[in-house]
Amino acid sequence: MDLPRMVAVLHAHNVEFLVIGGIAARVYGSARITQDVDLVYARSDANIGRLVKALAPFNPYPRGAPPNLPFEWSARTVKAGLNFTLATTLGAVDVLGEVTGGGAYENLAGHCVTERMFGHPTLVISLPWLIRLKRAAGRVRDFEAIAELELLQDLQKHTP
Amino acid sequence: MGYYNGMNQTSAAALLREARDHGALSQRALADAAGTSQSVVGRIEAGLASPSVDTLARLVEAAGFELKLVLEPGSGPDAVIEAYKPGIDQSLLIENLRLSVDGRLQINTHFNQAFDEVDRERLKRAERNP
Repeated sequence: MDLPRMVAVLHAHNVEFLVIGGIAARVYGSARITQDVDLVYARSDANIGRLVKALAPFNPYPRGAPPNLPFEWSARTVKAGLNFTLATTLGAVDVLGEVTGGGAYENLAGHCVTERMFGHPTLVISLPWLIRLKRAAGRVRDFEAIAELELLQDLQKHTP
Repeated sequence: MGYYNGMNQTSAAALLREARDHGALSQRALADAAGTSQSVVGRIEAGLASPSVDTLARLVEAAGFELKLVLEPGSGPDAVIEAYKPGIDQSLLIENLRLSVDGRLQINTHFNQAFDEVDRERLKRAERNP
């Protein structure tokens, strides 16, 4: 996954997005390696247009789907759908219109911090909200990740 | 570690500003309607003053809204999650916290590059030995 380029490309196209998931966990010090990036994007027409344009050069295609499906990465497709798990030439990216327990971009943006990621001020879901989202997702594979995030929260509280 | 974005109801300041914006009122007009001064409104919106619940309720009512406070149960410790904690190497976390955000992300990138390399090698071998 070429995260620096992914972040740069999204900012270059002024895409309104925020980062959740494993990359957000890394931002807070998680030791877990993640192979995809989870982004929540604003569902306005203008932003969908920017998102589509930003990712188009990197051949987005449904991750794990058989080849040669009639999939078209377009504003029409994104408007008709909501959450897309994509393979791109920059790596795996989950492009999410809504997330369980957090809702849409507008709901989550108020629960973010701004972090410089590779030189770009980027909205990242706050640590308490990251834990909340992972709890809401209720996936067994997240249990250890939640435990780690809670430990990080404690460590941050006790780190000057 | 950055700052809270404060776009909506996460603070009295953002809440009041949002209510006033929706009510299309200036700070002074809102203050007059609520029977207070513009400087009080300005200080709250700037995050320089923390209003009491009563004061905040009065101000948002003057903007045409009703303040509702909701108690939600907190998410206390979960026994299953707690059971995972002793097995987590905290020294690694402490080490990561000493790094910059980019440093933390770059480690992830390096691992991913290594995974990609392994995948490519595996693919080559599969092609050589179908």
